[in-house]
Amino acid sequence: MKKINVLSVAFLAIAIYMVSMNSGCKLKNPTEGFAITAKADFVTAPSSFKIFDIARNGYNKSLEGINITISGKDAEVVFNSGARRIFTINNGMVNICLRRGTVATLTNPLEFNIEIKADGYLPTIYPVKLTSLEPIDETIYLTNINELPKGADKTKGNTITDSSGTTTGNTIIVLPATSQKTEKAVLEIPTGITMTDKNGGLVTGNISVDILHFTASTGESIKSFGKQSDNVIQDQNGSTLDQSTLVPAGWLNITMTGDGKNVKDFSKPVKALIEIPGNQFNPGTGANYKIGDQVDILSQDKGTKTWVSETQATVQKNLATNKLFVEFDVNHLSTWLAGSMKNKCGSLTIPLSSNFILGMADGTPIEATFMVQYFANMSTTDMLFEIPITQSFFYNASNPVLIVNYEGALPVEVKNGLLSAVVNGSSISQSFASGSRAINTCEIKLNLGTINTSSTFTGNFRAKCISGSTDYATLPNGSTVYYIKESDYQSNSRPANSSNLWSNFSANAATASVNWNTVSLPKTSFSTSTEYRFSVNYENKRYDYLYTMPASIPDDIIVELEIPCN
Amino acid sequence: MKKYKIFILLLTFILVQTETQATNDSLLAKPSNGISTGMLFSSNGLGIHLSKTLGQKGICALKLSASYLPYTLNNFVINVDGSNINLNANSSTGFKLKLNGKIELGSANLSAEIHPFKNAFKITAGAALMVSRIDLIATPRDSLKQGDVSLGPDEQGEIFFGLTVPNLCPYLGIGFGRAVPKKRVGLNFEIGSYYIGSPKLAFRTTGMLEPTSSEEKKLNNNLKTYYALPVITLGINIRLSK
Repeated sequence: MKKINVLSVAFLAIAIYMVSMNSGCKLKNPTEGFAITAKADFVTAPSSFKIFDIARNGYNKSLEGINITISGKDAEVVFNSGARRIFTINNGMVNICLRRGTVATLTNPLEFNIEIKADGYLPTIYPVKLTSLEPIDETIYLTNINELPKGADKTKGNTITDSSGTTTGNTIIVLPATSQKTEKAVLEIPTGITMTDKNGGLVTGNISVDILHFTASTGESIKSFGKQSDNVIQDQNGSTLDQSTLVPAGWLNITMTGDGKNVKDFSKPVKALIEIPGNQFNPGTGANYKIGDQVDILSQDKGTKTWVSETQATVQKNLATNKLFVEFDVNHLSTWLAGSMKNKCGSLTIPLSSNFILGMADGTPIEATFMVQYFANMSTTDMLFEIPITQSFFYNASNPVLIVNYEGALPVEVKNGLLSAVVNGSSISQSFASGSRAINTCEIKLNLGTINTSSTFTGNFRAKCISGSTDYATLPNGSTVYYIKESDYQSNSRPANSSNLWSNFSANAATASVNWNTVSLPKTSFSTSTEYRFSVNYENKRYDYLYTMPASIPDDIIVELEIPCN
Repeated sequence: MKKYKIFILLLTFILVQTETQATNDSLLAKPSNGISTGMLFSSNGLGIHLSKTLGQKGICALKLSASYLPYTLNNFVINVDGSNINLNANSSTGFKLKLNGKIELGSANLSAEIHPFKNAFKITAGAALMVSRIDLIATPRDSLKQGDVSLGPDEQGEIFFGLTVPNLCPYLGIGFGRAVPKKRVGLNFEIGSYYIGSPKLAFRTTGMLEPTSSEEKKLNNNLKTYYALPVITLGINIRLSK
């Protein structure tokens, strides 16, 4: 018995040894050599902003290396590409990234400002609104005070205040109309006005007056204004108004300094006059400005983004010069604008010449590309700039309208519109015409057309070259195209010779431009969600193509046969 | 490992002595026929069994058993040495991961026990439906900083680590003790192994940890050596039949 037990123990010992070898000696640690590697992309969604000197029509290298400030509600998620909060102009660009994990959507956009203060330039606050993490490439226009753009002018004057900070005489400073700036501006400083700085201190002595006048008559000048949309406009009580779009007719940038102080307030208003370009469109009336029109007067403190609605002025006419103008009171110093403030945003509907639903099933990806051109005026050809737009959609048969959002405010037109999609492996595209010029819009609606209830559908047959060439062959006129349910085809031994199982039709000759052979077929001849085999005899050879009819038979289908091309 | 081996051998010795004593007392006089049930305490979980002897000599028995042991990991921290946190401004070796998830051990076995020497020593062979699996999510424990950006653990990504074995695995083991004891209560000890081939690894990384997905091949290679899943079982059997 003991002998047997010894044998048993020996078996067990061997087993334990084998198990221990398995679990200890020959086994690798499962995590041996395992290492974590993390990506270094702490920031994402890079975007770039070109810095553009309007007067030089390009970049001014003197701006290189200037520090930029990012401000605004979402500034904390904005970094440079090195994940730092240091921003400079580098090679004529300001590049920004967003903190990883940041989300931007149409309903919850990211908003921040790029603030640029450079010697010799007007301080610029460029508002950025991101509705996605797609990189954006925009241009920030800077106004060089020493090289003002066409449509702008500056002058320097002076007035005298006594020891009580009160003007001792009437001062009129005129910025005349010139060939570069066809509208005049005037600032009149009456006698008896007490001037104080922002702290209420009197400003006495010789007061230097600097005025920049910008008109809306040139694109360059309009660029100085910056973005017209997404403005914050408040009333004089500080309440934000619904309007956020400004369409300027002209504006003045006024500074007064004396005794080392900047004038901020007046005891009584000074008078400003701005002429309005004769062909200036008034968004408020939908026509060009005319006598009696009301113009919104707004002010904006330097270095801020908020406009304050001050008052309204009535358009008058100088009978001697035949020029329209507005006069308004200036009771403090800042930028003063005459123009129109509007709600954003309207909608610009672009009609398509025909339905864009060729063989398209619900959910088909569609891409729309076009240019939005911004104009200085509704009636001129002075295109300021254009922005390319590419937007992807999914076709929705129940609501086949694509809505493209863009920055609105200035008069805009759509150009080079193209819709494209891939249906059944074949690319289809359709251009759409430019819409008429519209103002104060920030979305474009493209109606793709709807599927009608026609009892027939159009079969579009194209003969594609087997070689892979992008040329498409035209089937001979009257070519017979056969079709059969694929299930019937597969379930019959020699369906190709069973002519009674095949249906056929004669395809019309294609037009040379599109190489489509089209034929009208009754919908009742086809079953939905069913695969069909289409076949054509071409130069004594047969070529087949399988096509699955969608769940709902569309008005157009595409069948792309492959044939040799000579 | 050395302590583990000594413990196993000591346990074996005790069991052999116990069983030998029992054998001397009654084994040859009375075959162990009948049905038994009992509890199993194994490295594959806690379980129960139902056994029946085959034939009259009591040297062969059929055993149906099931065992299960779930274990939940909650913020269990491991250090992954030698990790390359490939950051421009901050590189380091070593990376702490928090593990959360579930480790489940268990199987349902059908096996035959044979006592070739007509004593307590047995050889067991059978098959098991395996429920053993590991499903873990590893997340970084600490924040990472680059430049002025600090990303919290939740923002860095995750590593999903899953390990499964084949549903059906053969089993082979040896031990002491009878599935149906001669007395009312008996003990048995068994050591064996499931043949699991190579465990199937599910490995997925997200976010900033995506580059770690290249480590999947390394893990798979390491796991290839784990073709067997060893099991040690201690059982208490209660004879149901007279």
